[in-house]
Amino acid sequence: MADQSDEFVRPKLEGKRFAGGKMPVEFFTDLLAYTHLVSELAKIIYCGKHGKDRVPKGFGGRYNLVMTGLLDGSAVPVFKRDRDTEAALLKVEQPDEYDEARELVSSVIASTALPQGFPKALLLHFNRFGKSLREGEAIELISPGKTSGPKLDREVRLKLLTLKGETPRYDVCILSGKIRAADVLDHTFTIKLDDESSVYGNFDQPFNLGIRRALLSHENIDVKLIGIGKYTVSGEIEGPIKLQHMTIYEENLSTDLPPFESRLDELQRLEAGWLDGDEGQAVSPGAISWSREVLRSLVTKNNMPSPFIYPTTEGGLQAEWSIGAWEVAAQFDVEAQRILLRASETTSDKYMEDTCSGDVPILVNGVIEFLTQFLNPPGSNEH
Amino acid sequence: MGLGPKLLVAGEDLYRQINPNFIQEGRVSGQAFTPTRKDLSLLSVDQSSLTTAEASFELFTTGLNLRSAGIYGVTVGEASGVGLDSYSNPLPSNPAHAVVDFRNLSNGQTQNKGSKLAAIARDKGPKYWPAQAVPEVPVTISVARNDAPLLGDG
Repeated sequence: MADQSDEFVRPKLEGKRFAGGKMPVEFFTDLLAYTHLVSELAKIIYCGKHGKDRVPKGFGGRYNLVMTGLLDGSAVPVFKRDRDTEAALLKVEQPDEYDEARELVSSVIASTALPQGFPKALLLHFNRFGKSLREGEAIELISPGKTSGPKLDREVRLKLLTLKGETPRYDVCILSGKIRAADVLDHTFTIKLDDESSVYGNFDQPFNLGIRRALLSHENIDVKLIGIGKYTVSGEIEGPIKLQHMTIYEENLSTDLPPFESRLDELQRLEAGWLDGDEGQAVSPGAISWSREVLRSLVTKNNMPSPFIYPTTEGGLQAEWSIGAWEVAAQFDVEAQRILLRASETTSDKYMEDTCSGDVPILVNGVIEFLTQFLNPPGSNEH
Repeated sequence: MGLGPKLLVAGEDLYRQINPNFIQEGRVSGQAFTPTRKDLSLLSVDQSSLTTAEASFELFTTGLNLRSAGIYGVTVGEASGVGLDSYSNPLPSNPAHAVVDFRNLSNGQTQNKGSKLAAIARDKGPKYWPAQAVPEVPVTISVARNDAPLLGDG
């Protein structure tokens, strides 16, 4: 019931995108991160005050934030505490720990320093809170009874994340857009992303002609790139990225790099003894056709990156992907109708192994499941 | 197999011949740095203190009549960094011969370390690569793609 609700905060969004009271839906994620931050901090404050390890039952029910709408003329959502619940009806002192937490968060943003009582670990919430802000935009946190408050913008957020002691990280990145510049001698390129930002990167020989083709016909060609990229402490990708796999989209056709079909044709012609004369069995036609069926389903139908493919000394095939810091391999064993999957992280001792067997759809799903964990690691960004 | 002394100069390059089938459009396979059954878990390399990458390639291809597309390499320190020791192992036909020791490792550990060595070598690029060995492969393969979601049902 509206009359039983207390205003908690007005996070006012500033910037051209919010003119006319518009709030892009992506900001719900930012605001949700803010409410989680306040909630966790309130629990810590309560435990500190009362010398307890945990909050009493029903503590969270006091918070119970609801958004009652945007104020006319500007993007200012109003967050209120809904008292119309059993837990919220319990008598509590005002202001309580949630109000204290709100003020402490505002104090952190205002000072870009850690005030007493604000645990450093909670700064991780700024990974999400404020992430959607662009240059020239800010979220102003206005407390009840006030007309202004501290502003979180990109610069403040970066300072807070730096305060957390984070350094830039390297991780897998998946970029979609158009190739707008390339230097084929230096093996560098620039991709313009769908959000109009640009990232530059390096490419090796397998992508030379693909990059050139995408550049020359950039008006008609979109690309999807998989590579390893440098991320700022605020989670934004910055160059240079290193290209590892590429798909070129032209009308309703697509080209995968490296190309697996022509590579399989090539490996079909291998003769026994290809490795130093006394090792290396020929790859059987059955192994080629079975692998082709699996790879067509995997790459063409299910949009997985196209692998590099090599023969094995036992007459089989091994598909390999470099995905971020992971080296992933799938060894095709046609006789056993089985695929052995392995992955090594080059920056750590992590190693993973799995086996899938069965008919082609089962195998393909097994490979997709294995690959996907490296294409979507926790905390990675897809642009 | 009796091995010579352990190699201790961390910066010394260890040259590895790359079989032409273990390279696709300039990308070296993890298998190129993983010993095969015949190798008995000892990966053959040549020491940079005793030969050059070009001389190593010439001896392997012309002298021994074996196939190599070129030379990639890791250092003694890089091999040690992934938990592999290296030993001198001169042969009558190749005094610069040495080995990286994969013995006492499971198959999974062997594959893991081999793919890491390959990734390190790949990042550094070839140590010696005859110009004619890397033809440019034209991009000609285009296929109609289903509008399938990223995670389809296979």
